[in-house]
Amino acid sequence: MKILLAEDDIQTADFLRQGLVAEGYSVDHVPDGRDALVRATMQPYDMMVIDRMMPGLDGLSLVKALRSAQVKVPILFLTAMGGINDRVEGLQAGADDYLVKPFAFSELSARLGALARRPALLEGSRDQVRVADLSMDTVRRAVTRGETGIDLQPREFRLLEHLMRSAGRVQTRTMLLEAVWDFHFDPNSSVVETHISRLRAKIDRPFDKPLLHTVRGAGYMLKA
Amino acid sequence: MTDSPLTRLMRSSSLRLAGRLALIFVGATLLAGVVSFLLLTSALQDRLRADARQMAESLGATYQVAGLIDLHAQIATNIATTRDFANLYLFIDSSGRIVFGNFSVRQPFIGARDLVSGRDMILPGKDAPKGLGFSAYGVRLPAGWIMVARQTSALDEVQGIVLQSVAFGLGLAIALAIAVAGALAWRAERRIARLSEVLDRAAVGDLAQRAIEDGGDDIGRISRAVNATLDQLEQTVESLRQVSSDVAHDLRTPVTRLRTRLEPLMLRNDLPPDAAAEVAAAMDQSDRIVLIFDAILRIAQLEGGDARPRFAILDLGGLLRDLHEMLEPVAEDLGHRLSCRALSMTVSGDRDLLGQAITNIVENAFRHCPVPADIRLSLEALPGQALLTVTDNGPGIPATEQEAVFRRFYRLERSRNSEGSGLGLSLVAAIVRLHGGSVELADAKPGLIVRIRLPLA
Repeated sequence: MKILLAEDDIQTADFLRQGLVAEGYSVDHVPDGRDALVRATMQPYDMMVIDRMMPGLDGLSLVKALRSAQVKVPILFLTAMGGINDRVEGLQAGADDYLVKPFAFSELSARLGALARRPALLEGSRDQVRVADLSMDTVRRAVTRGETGIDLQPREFRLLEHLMRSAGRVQTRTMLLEAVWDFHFDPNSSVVETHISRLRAKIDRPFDKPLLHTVRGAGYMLKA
Repeated sequence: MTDSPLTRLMRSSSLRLAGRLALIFVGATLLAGVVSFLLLTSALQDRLRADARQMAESLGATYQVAGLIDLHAQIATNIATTRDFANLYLFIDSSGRIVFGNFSVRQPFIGARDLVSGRDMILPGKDAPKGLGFSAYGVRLPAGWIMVARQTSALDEVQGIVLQSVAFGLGLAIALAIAVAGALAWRAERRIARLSEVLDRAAVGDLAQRAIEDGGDDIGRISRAVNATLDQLEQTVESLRQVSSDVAHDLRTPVTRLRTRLEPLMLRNDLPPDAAAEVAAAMDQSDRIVLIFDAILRIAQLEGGDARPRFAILDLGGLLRDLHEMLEPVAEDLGHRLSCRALSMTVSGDRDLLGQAITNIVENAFRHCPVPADIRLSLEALPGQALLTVTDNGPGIPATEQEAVFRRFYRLERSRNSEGSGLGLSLVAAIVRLHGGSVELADAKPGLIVRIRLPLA
């Protein structure tokens, strides 16, 4: 997996590169937008991380330029804090996801994991999702673990479906808030934790082997 | 503020001014009419007197040059050509006997005199009219007197014509004055309406509107002053925005670095326990810096009116139910009760911003109410607006501080040491204002009521 990182702050870029390399990515870093455009059009990348504010060519124009040049690689857009319109502008320009600075590296890593479109560790078809002995019928809206039927609230069902479809990948709090509730702000209270613990009480607690894991400092992951 | 445009026009100062001017205009026209009427009457009267005198004197001259026979013939000719008692002639001999003429007087006189038929003089014939006015003149000759009189009723006719024309002119003047006043008032009202619209829009953060600047009058002057102020304000806001975005750029880099340095330490398992605790605390504080800083920048942006173009039509009731569904388990875990009663109604807005505002209020209640608190979300439709209420039965906010809590960094004395940023309600107020709504606090006795009004879409 080859990543192009366009970020003008060398220190931040170094940390990101070290972290990404440790996770098995190979990283090319460019400190300004024009260089990024040249690199991106000269060789193929699997993903790009583009900062909004850069010398030469700003991130937004870079993404627009890449998309109009038919470069279809997944792009993660980094925006400044406080920017209410940054997310919408980034996505409208053609980015696939966005992240507000400063962010946790684990957040970046989780989002890149989702963007990489690596196949999730899940078995079954579109309507039938299965992780270990946990299975979900999205048409009949039924969940069973082993032989036991599990009764879920509608939102718990959506939360579990999302976790199952991205099984084996870390899902952060904000990723879950976006995917399950479609909210792009951060509530101060422990919304995600509370809903996860209720879900856990239903799908894990009565059984021997836990499937819903907490990934320290990052988020949650459903895994056999 | 629900006056009809007509009511507003009737009450406008410009229409009142125009009305006053019209009144003065009409008064002046009336005065001019009266004066010209009087002048004309007196001029005509003088003219008639002069005519009578001139005729009397010319008859006197005829007598002196040509004698009594020719005088007689001249008077007879004059009488024959006059109609309806317009001109009267009379010759009286020295003994006071009327020799000939077409009227009679009791006593001959010399010089000018005004006569009335039937009172001072008698007209010939049985049905001779009485009460007609005449201007007479008498001349003394050696042989007697010559008296000539001109009827002044012609004057009445002329007076009537003058009065008619004055009345006509006056009517025309009134109509013209009303039309001009109305047009002026309407034009002024339109410019004032635009001016007040511009100011209303500026009050909710839209600084791009401008008033109509035409005309060198007072409204034009005020419009130009308002526009200049708005230009200045827009520039200030723009540079403020520039400053905050510069600050954001300059600060986010060190904060990002700080976080990226702390984060790997957090995940290490080989740190001594006290060091690990310190790292976790430092991480917490850096997250708090980000939180506060993010809130400041958001409020600044919201107050600049930046996010409005992204508005969409959304179901506020649905949003409230979603938020209730999201926050209800949290409330339960904290030992509170969160209930929701909301019908569907549509507003124009940003789902995330409104969601954040409502979440902020509910989380404030979580934080400030002693367990177990009863927190109620409700949404009802008022004419033209949605009324969203969050009510709790906690300690409430003293009436004297209810205004102040919307200020940035304002914190109640009793919560000075708690973890909040002091920005939560400022952010709520900024979001609601951006949506053209209003937010107010009230006392639930006991507890706090937060009322948010938003215009329905």
